[in-house]
Amino acid sequence: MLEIRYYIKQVLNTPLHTVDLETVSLDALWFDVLLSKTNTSKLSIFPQSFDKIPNGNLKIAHVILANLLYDKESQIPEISANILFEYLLNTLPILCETIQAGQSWKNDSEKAEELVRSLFYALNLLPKNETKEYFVDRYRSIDSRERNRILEETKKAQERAKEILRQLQQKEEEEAASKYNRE
Amino acid sequence: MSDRVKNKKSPLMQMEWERELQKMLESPFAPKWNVNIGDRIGKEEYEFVQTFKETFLHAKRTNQFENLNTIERFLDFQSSRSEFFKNRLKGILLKEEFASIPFTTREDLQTHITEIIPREMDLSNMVINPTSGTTGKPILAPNHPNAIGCYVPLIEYSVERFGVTPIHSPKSTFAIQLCYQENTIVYATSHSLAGGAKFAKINIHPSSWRNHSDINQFISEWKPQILTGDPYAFESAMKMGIKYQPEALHSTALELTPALRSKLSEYFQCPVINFYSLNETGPIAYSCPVDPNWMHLLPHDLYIEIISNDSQKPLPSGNVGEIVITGGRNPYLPLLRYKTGDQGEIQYGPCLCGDHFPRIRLLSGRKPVYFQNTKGETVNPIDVARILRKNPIIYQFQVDQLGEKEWECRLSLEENVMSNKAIWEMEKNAIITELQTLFGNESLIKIKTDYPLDGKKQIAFLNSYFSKEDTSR
Repeated sequence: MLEIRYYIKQVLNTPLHTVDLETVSLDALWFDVLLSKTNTSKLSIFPQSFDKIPNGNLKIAHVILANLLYDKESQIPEISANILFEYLLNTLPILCETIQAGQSWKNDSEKAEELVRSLFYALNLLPKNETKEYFVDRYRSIDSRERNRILEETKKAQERAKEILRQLQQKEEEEAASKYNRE
Repeated sequence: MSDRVKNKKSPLMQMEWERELQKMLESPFAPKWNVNIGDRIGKEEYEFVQTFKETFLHAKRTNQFENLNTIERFLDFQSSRSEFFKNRLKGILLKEEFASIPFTTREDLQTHITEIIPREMDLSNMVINPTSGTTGKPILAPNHPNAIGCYVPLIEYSVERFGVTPIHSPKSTFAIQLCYQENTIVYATSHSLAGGAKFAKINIHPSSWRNHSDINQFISEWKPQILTGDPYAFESAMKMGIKYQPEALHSTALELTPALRSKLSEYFQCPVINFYSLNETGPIAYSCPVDPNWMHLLPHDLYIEIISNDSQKPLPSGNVGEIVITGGRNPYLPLLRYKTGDQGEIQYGPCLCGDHFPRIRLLSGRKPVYFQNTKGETVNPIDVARILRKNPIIYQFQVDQLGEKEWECRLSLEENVMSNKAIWEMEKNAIITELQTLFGNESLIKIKTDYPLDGKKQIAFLNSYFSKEDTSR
């Protein structure tokens, strides 16, 4: 494996202008990747086609990642086709939903890093000069899904706190419960 | 069935209880009732308290009180539910490093209550009992009918230790609580956990009655087994010549000095049980029947530590420090090394009285403070507290009677008010006017605004004038 910056650069430099997003076959791209990067049989293909994905962030992400994994000089070792499929099917679509208007994987280095790290995290790949702890810590700090989760939790906690304070005030004005003594 | 029976104030109220209670409410000697509150005990709460009672009595029989080994389970449970516990216990080995768990302060209860209340708690059952205490800024301790219900078996246990057998019958009145305040709530109810036995809270201040003589008549008519109240109320009752011989006096809230205890015992011809209880914790301890200077830890689910005032480290028994409490049964307010602000020492080992739970000796507790208005009449500090606490700009206060007609009122205030001179002048005049209605028109009230706000339990009332005049009080 190379240092993370190499892969980020690869993402940022993906030659998307050479790809006709309307007609490109994602299945064909992934077939090539699988041939070069998995230890599975040359005949095995993903159990579900990606060709029907409508044009958009998700399709672009597929192209970018296929390009990244296909790169012969990337020194990315063999990967598991099953894990990759799981990732593409379950994680990548959610990740793409976090892309804001005007943002893209290709012109924002932090988003590019997030994409690379999310893939490496799923495939259990560790860039050069990084410990597992550092990798995970850095990934969590830029992971939009994690950030959204924390935001959501914070929002919920704030709403709960607001509700508690409201109830405290309301209950103070309501009747108490009888006690034999006072404190 | 009347509305009283049907409403949620006393869900288990029965026809017979209702009839008996009605007689008390309609007594020709009754005080001017001003609220209608119940025990809030429904079927579920009833079951909860019964289970608690069984566990508690078993623990007393087998001498099993919460200790460093057993408290771990409570901490584990709460850290999975309360953000506050989770954060405070992060990275701490519960048993080995217990002493390094940060303390919970009164300020934490004021500012972090939303994190302390466990995440999944349904808030609809929350109850806030009004605080009328005489120390510092009160804490709005949220409570649950379950935990308030547990007061009944705990109080009953403490009176049984003095030979009083609570009669669980709607025809009986278990307790009448005495207060002496210009203003307070006055009510009567039946307690479901005591088989419908009646309970009344009355204010012996003349303003609460149609005729002054009704007070004695009312108490004699309903013959409560015990009288509850604070030393201040009992002393006032004694001075007013209230004549009644209960089976026991149950004294809480303020320090009961040995001198007053023996005076009260002689006057009311009954034992006096000193009870240590906080709004935040519920009942903590009751005085030992053999040696009243010591109080036995009452419930089995509180872990007590004595913390050095200097090093803030736990002290071995026989040393005096701050009483710190972990545990409890209030589901809205689990306590994690809560600093009570009270000083005391703890002793372990068997006791001649037969209760072998640890003994606590309280030191310099909450001494009752007396004010005297310009006409020479006694003023209850709780009435002063009522005026100052209802004002939202006042965070903490201390009121000191400096002379026959002179008071100093020390305040810590909200910054916005302090920075606006015009608003502050208006607020200040309003406070002075209200206090003058209590202390007398000729009273001189000085206001100081440099009182520190540090979340600690402060002495809210002082009487420098009386201390100079009569140190024996």
